[in-house]
Amino acid sequence: MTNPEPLDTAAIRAALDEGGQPWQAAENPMTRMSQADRERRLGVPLPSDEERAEIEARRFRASAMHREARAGVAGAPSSFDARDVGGNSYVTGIRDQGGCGSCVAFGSVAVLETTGAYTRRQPGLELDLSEAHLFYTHGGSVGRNCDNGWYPLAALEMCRDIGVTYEEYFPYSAGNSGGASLNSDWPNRLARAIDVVNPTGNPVAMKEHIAQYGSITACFLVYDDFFAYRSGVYRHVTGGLAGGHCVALIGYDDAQGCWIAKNSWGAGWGDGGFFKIAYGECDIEAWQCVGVQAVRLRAWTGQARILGLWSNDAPRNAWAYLDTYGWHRVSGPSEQAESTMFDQAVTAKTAGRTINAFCDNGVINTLYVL
Amino acid sequence: MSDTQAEYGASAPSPTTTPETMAEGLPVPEDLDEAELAITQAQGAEMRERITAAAAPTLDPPGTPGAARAAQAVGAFPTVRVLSLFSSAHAVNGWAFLEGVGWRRLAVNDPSAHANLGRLAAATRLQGTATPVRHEADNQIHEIYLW
Repeated sequence: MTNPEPLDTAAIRAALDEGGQPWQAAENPMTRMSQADRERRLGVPLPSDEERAEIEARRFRASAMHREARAGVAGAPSSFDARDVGGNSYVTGIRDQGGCGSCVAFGSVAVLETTGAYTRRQPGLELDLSEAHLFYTHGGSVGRNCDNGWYPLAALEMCRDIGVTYEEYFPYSAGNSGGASLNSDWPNRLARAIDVVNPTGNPVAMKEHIAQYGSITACFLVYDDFFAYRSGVYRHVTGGLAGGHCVALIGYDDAQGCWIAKNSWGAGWGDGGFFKIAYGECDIEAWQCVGVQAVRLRAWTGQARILGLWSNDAPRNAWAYLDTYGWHRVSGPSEQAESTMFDQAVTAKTAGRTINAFCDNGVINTLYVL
Repeated sequence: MSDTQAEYGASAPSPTTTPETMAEGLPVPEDLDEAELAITQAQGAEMRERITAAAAPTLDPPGTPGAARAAQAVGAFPTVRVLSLFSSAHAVNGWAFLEGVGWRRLAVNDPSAHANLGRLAAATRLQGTATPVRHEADNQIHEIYLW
């Protein structure tokens, strides 16, 4: 049943007051929409009865794992936040999916962007990948659209098998109302997921994955009160079920008993676009949680500085450290080709000149000294 | 001592002595027999394996997110300046004078590695700044970072 009126945040605040204010609610762009527009942003199809039974079983097991973890079994650190790892943030900016059930593309791309930066220890990488490519091209090829949504496992598997290009090669707009099209050079500006993993229902493995790789997707049930979230650790208090949603988990905190998530409803929603949700709440661990262990990048760097060079006594083993990209091996089809490129890299470094390099999976195979 | 070291090691002059007259002329190429060809192909396979398994850098440049971690491990890498360079008309015979250490030969186990280390030693000399250099008891330089 849809409600054409904006969400009654006063009623939600009253319910929260009665419940001891477990979290804070406020008006925001989502609460001011009609219920139909809110629900349009929930792009994970609700599970069937059979799937719901499986989710229930996973939720039960996950709950037991949380209890064991509190007893000191867990191997992951007690907290992690990819926005602050030694003072560095590996989380890209908050996006806004607009009026389209494309949250799976946003959650999946957020995972690629964070994992890509965190596994390289490059907070300045600022990857901006194309949700439009993932949703409208890849999702569209299997019948997915703004109305029927998608699942993160399928989306990240396509990120692994095909890859997703950069935002400027296919800029996103809700329903592709901007009329953008995919740049034909997309295979040369591409991010591909490596090793898709699915620790759904295992919160200990989820934490270990987040601490090691920076991020993981999660799907959960959205109730009406969630639209009004402002801060604190969310737990469902009031309101009916609105739909299924996908986000990227970018941290957790055992002391508060919560996951830290990046949403795709703009920075005006929630806590600057982020939220915390209690462990186990709304099936956040039991529905579909998918991550990747690395992100292979294939692209020109544009103007980049060489901050370091290295070689050792191994044959044909020369490396260059590019600012915001990290270490890359200088590699070619022959020793002579590598020597020429490494010579030029040394020249650029010692002369303080920038370079433009074509990098493919951590390897420089073409180089300009600018 | 490896075959490469045996081939290149003993006869080339070091920078502590006056370079001698140039070495004898290059050997005349000869066709390989089947046994020699098999050995060469096996060495090629071994070489490909070594290239694939080659180590990656473990330190990150100063000022980067990994620099703190690198600083903890830097004890394994003496940070020194290169004060002088030497080479002669002999194969893999590049040397660098490390401040406080003395003359050390660039690793001789592989010509491409020797050349890469030579490039970095030369650039380090040009910059004049101290940089992590790993040299071992064999009096050879096995690893150079250039920041």
